Amino acid sequence: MIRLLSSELLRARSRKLVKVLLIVGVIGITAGVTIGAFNSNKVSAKDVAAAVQRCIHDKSISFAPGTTRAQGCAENGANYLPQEAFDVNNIGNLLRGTSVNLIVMGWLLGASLAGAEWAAGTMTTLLAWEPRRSRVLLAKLVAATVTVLILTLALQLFLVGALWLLAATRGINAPDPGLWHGIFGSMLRVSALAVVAGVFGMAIAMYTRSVTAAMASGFIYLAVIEGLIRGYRPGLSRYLVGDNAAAWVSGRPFSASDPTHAVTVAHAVVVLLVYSAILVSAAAVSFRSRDVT
Amino acid sequence: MAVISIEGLRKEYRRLRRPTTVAVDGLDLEVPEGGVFGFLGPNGAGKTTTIRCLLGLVHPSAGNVKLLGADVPRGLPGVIGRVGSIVESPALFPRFSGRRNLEILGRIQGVGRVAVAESLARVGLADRADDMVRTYSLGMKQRLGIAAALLKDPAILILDEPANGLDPAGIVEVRGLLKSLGAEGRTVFVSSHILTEVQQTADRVAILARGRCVATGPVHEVLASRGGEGMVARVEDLAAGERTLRAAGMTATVDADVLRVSVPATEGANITRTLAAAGLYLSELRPDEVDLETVFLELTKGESGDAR
Repeated sequence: MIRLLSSELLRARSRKLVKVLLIVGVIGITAGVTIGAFNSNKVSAKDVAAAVQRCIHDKSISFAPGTTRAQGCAENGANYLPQEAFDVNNIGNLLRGTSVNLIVMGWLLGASLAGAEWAAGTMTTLLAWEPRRSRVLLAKLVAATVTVLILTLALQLFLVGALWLLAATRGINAPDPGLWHGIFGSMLRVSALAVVAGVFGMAIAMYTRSVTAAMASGFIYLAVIEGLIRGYRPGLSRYLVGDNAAAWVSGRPFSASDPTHAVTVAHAVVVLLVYSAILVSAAAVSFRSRDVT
Repeated sequence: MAVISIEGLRKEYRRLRRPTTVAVDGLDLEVPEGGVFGFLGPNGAGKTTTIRCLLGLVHPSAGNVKLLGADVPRGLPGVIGRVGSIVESPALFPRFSGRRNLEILGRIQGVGRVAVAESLARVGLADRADDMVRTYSLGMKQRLGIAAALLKDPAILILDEPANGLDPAGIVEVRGLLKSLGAEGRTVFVSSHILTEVQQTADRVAILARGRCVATGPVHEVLASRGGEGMVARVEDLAAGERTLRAAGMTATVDADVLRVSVPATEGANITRTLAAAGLYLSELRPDEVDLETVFLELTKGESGDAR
């Protein structure tokens, strides 16, 4: 099994798609941060203190009960700066905002790592070396998990590093307590969700024996089926992948349509794991029982 | 000991709104250890399906298959490390180099880089090993497939049409390779439609038609079972030759520009003597043999299907 896994990891590592996604990700992040750098300005502690004072004296805004003006303005003082400035405390929000790209990337990688075997006909060759199909599927799932995890973590680290550099050189670099803890928690949650997406993509590609079908089914589900369910059966929305994924990434209860049916993080974990298990089981049964022609 | 043993193998492909296709229909086959075994049949005879059943890629509808003594598919994992194979055209990743493709496969069985390099060199691909497979010609891909099959140092090689797409020089190369592999004590099970190649390479053959084995055995026996029994003689005056041989008690007939004489091959001297005594001198005298192609066409006359 270790040899088979080693072979699958080498195969995954050699895929051009992995390199292309990494390069595209790096270029995208670099471009985004460069644009941000042009729009951001270096802000000193003195500027921030002045902005906080402006906030305190602005009687037109009010804060939640129990929050003093000083506390509220310490958090929102950046809004009173005379110039745009990127705040290091926004990194967490940006990470969550870019998570969709990484989740799609995970789905694509998972689908491709299985679907390419069927497209190239190399599943025949592979099974002539390892005929135990359950092992082959398991090795592929582990290889996809490792690949997606490494790729998404690497890109998120690069993004966080670039944004920190932006804040330090042309923005506000005054991190709130617990900022980095929250950022790394977000990174892990996004990568874990990208892995789940990769497992979904791979399971569907193994079942349909096609990358295109795996990608199209994901798109149709998210764009059409989830919309229909939210519209006609809002009570079922707590079982939708989208709502559960959002709750997991944000780390707090979420509902896109009906706040009374908000999805908790624990519920999201269970639902996403159950869906993964169902899809992988269906792929395993199909792979074991169908002919490879 | 039979390295391949097939009993009553049947494979049906069921399709929606289309009649069921029977690709293999009660095939019985025994392949002894060592040497080159030719597996012949027209398109759709069930050769590739049989090979896929042997490798556990498709599930037989009925029958038993054993490979190196192991039941397929249950026992296959125990013997797959001694089985090299190509099914149809070699399927490899086109965007990886030849070397990388082999390294990926080699890792599954713990085969290292040295063995990969040796295997590539053996099929003459050492110079192109680091080029992407998509830049290879069909013949080079075929040779890479053979290199992959050889990586495991297999006891049995199962090759589906290994000469497909090769130029004449490549065909000669592959012929030599198959012969040398067979001479090393390995069993080479090779399906092919290039009958002259098989006749020159194989020790034994099986001929498949509509999913059934219609002839099997050593090549010379299969030929003899269908071949003419007699001699072929050529003289200038065929009519006089026919009269002379008949007068000597032999059954002779004119067939195009030769005489066919129904006597055992050991009677060749008698034909020479009889004709010479009548002043008729031979320009050719040979046993009336048929080639594999003739036997194949006779046995598979009108047989062709669309099964894989």
